Amino acid sequence: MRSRYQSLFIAIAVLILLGGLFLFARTVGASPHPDPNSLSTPSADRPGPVPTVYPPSQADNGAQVYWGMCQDCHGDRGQGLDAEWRSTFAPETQDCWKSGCHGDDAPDNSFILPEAGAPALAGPGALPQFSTAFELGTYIHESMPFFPTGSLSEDQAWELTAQILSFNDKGVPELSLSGTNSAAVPVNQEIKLPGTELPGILILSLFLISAAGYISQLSKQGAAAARRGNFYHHLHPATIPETQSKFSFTLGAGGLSIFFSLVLLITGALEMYYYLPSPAGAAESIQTLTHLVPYGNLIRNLHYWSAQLLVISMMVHLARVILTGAYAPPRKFNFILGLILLVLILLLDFTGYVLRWDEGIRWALIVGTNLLKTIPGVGEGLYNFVIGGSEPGAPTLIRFYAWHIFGLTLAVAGITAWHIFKVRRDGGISAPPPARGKKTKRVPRAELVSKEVIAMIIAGVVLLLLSVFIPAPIDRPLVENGALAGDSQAPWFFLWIQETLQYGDPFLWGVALPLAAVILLGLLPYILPNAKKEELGRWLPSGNRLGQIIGVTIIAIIFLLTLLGGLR
Amino acid sequence: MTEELTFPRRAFLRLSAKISLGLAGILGMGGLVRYFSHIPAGNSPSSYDLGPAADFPASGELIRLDIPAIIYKTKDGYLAYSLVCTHLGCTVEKDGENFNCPCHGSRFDHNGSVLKGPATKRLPALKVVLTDQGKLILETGGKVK
Repeated sequence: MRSRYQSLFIAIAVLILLGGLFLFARTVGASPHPDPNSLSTPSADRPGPVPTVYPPSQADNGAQVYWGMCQDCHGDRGQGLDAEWRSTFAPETQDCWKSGCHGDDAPDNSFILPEAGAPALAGPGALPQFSTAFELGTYIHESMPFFPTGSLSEDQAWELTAQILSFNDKGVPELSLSGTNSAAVPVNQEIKLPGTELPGILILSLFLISAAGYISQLSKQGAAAARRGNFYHHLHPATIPETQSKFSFTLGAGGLSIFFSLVLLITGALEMYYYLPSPAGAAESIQTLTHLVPYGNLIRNLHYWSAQLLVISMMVHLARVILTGAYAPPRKFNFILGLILLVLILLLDFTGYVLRWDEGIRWALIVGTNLLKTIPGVGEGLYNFVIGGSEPGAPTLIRFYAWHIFGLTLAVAGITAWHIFKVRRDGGISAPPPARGKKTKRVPRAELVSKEVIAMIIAGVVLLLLSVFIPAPIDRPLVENGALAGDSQAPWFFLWIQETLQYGDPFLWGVALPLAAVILLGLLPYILPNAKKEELGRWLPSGNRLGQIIGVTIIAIIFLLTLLGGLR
Repeated sequence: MTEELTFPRRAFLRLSAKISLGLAGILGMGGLVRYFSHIPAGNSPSSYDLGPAADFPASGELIRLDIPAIIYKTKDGYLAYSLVCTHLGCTVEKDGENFNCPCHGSRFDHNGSVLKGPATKRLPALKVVLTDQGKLILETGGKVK
């Protein structure tokens, strides 16, 4: 009986100690991580808790647990119970096995320590029986501490694993170890993180260069070969008026939007093979994809950057259409289709962003969805429909996933096809009517195709450079019911809404106003004078001046608000 | 004659472009294979705790379906056999002294030897270790499933 009460007492003492440590870690706050070697000299203050930066990393948390439970036997640097570590103990306790505490005659409430002492956790030859972090973490969870065995939580076991890996300079700070990803983290081998994505980058570069070479050769083959053309040529009209093919008129923005969409489809499909759509697995599976899967980081970065560039290219395309008055009849309806696509793509960006399910998405998850609630009448129902319940959780993630990979993607694919069909049905992009008695100069599709491909190659190079040098954001897995941090930000494409929200009523400023702006844009061809037919095909026609002013004002306001939000 | 020997510059360039495009495609496929080569799932445990030897069932026989394995206590020590059919991986069922596979009708005797096909390999024997603390540990080498 006595021993039971005593272990209860020890458990409470450890809890109080850990709680105190936690508070201590909070107060030490932003103090930098000390050099572990500086702790090697025995001194009175040596066996102290390791100060951590806030927020603590997984290994930092592990260091706290380690200090409380493991350090006595395994040493402050994982050196094991060696002579040097023993020398820091009081003389009568230096040989644990013979001191009467951990030997053959150990009392009931203690445990027997192997006579050789506790093994080293760090240094050459340490931990020989573990080949991966998974085995190490599982062992810690099941068999450590020696007494009472199995008293560590699973989280603590992974934190300790992270800490022990960092003892051995094998830490993977960017990875939050868990049962899912740790099998790929080696303990007794060199860590091979695919930071070496160079071959993949070289392959894509080779592809872009040879595509450029191939196209430049194809366009020199002469009229006969160009007339026949390949499958890709035949997606285009045989010839188009020269004015429609000028880059200085189209800015290539519509075509590039299609290109970015295709990159998104391919990279997104590849990501689906590793993404786990559950609150417990999502952020970790993205870490696995980013840090462990060969070329996973490259593919994720390409997906991220195409999504960002797509928003920009669509905005440029919209500005071009407004500033050239291109939405004049017969292209009124296609303008609406384009606007719908813009809204759908913003929703795709938003849902894709939430799928990260890490600490970075809190604004989107909380503010973004709560905005829906402010809509009078239907708000509550809409909120429940979007997040699949009364508060964010597993149903929210699976709904965002379904919308992202299926619902919205299907709608975008269908409307994009319709949008392109309408371009051809409406006689290509806007151009002046043929002058009487004068033959319109037309260019063959081979020329159009080579222009397109060159634009795609340039965009591909930009995409590749961005993906290589600026990685997509990633954060620690989302803690459910955690607080909204002070620096929580909207994703950049919704910064303008975050900014307007500061001016007043959330429904008015966050929902009604942005919606009104989109509707106003959609109404431009219907309520305001349009460009005259003979003015089409050039910039700033006089016919739709008012439309240009309104369109540019709206885009400029969104741009400025985004800038303001970004600088805040 | 001279015509056959010429290889126009343009044709050469076009061929080079095609070859390097094809090469990029093949290498890209290789990259894709690498991308799919990662195995994210954790390993299955390589050992299972069977509890204190003192608590071993008096019948001398313990079936653990989570492993799945059967452990016998004999006068010489402990014996353990995997219960995964060596044919296509179903879990075999105990039927008297023998084991029946419910999927395709393979039969094994109590020592795991094949009595009737389609399985051709015996049920693998597993190692049981008695620790100093009197605990039984089943070592599977992580390969039962």
